Amino acid sequence: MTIKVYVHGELLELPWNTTVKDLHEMMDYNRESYMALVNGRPAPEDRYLEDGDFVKFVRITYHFSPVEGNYEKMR
Amino acid sequence: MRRCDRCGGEAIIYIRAKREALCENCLLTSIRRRAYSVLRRDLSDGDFAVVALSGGKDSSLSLLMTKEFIEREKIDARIAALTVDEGTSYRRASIEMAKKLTSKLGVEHKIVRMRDFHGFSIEDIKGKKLPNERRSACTYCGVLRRQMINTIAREWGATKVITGHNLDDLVQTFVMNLVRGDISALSRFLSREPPSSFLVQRVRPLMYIYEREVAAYCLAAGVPAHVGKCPLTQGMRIGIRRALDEIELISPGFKLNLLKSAEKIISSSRRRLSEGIELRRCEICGEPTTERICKACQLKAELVNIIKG
Repeated sequence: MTIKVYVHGELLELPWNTTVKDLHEMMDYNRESYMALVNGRPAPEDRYLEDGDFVKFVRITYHFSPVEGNYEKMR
Repeated sequence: MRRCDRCGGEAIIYIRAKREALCENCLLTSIRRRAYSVLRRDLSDGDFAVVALSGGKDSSLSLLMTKEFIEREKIDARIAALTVDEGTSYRRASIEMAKKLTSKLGVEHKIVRMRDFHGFSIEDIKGKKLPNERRSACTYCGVLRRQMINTIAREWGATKVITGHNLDDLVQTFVMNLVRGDISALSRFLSREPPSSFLVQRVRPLMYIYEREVAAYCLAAGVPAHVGKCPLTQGMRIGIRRALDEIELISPGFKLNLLKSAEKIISSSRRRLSEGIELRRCEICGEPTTERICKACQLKAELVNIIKG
């Protein structure tokens, strides 16, 4: 069984037991830096997604840079 | 819909360390309890608290908590907000948010431009090659803004500067100081007594609150706050943040445990850590420093050269 969910406007077909945390992992959005809004409200990561949900990820940290390579440089 | 584990309302966040989901109201109660514990310790009758307000989610929530605390607990303290405009395009949007919030709360608000205070803005260095490879735009911006906030607040008569630093920010700062081996900064980390009468004591109401909690509450409650990223952001903090985030995901509660351990270790050895570190006055601006010339004046001289060059 599957559900249909809109993620950033794109319709995705997902397993019926997909949680917000699963979607974070599928989309590669770090759970500490991004927050999922489901139908416009922040949602806990253990919430099961439902058919027709609208999901959007928002970046919650200021210090997330488009400048790549700093981590490697630092190490 | 996921239910709040405390009241059964609609949950907006899952607190991994406690394995519980909370709704907007229960999250606010939890945030309020932790913020008030800091404010109760650090704010008292007769204080003039200046909130360093950028217009972002953290300082906006810090202002809300402090204002609410003073009113609820009937503290005879004055509160005002101070915004530093460092001149970046990104700041313009957040200043509008800061104005909106202070006007809604009826809080006196001062906006000071870096150009008026230092003679240049951070936007002036955009696209220019920085003279020191080890320094990023954030180093210049952070040091110069901190100096502005302290000087302006002190001259305004403030007895406390309230900042929006959350748990994530403080843990990152602690680890950055460790990585750099900066014992002087470590000896002053979270010190409640400023080492000089020229430094206004800082109070951090959100110090035990995760950034995720601040964001979830602000987004759910519609707190007027700017969410975005500075276009000039770079530097060591980004790498440290990513590494700490990875550990937090593997071991929930790690950041809070690290901060509490750091507080205990440093407060018990603060005297020993600060041995041989002497605070004097900067030969150029007169602000307190451990060196002959303070960091702000050193960085300012570097920037003036780049901008002119």
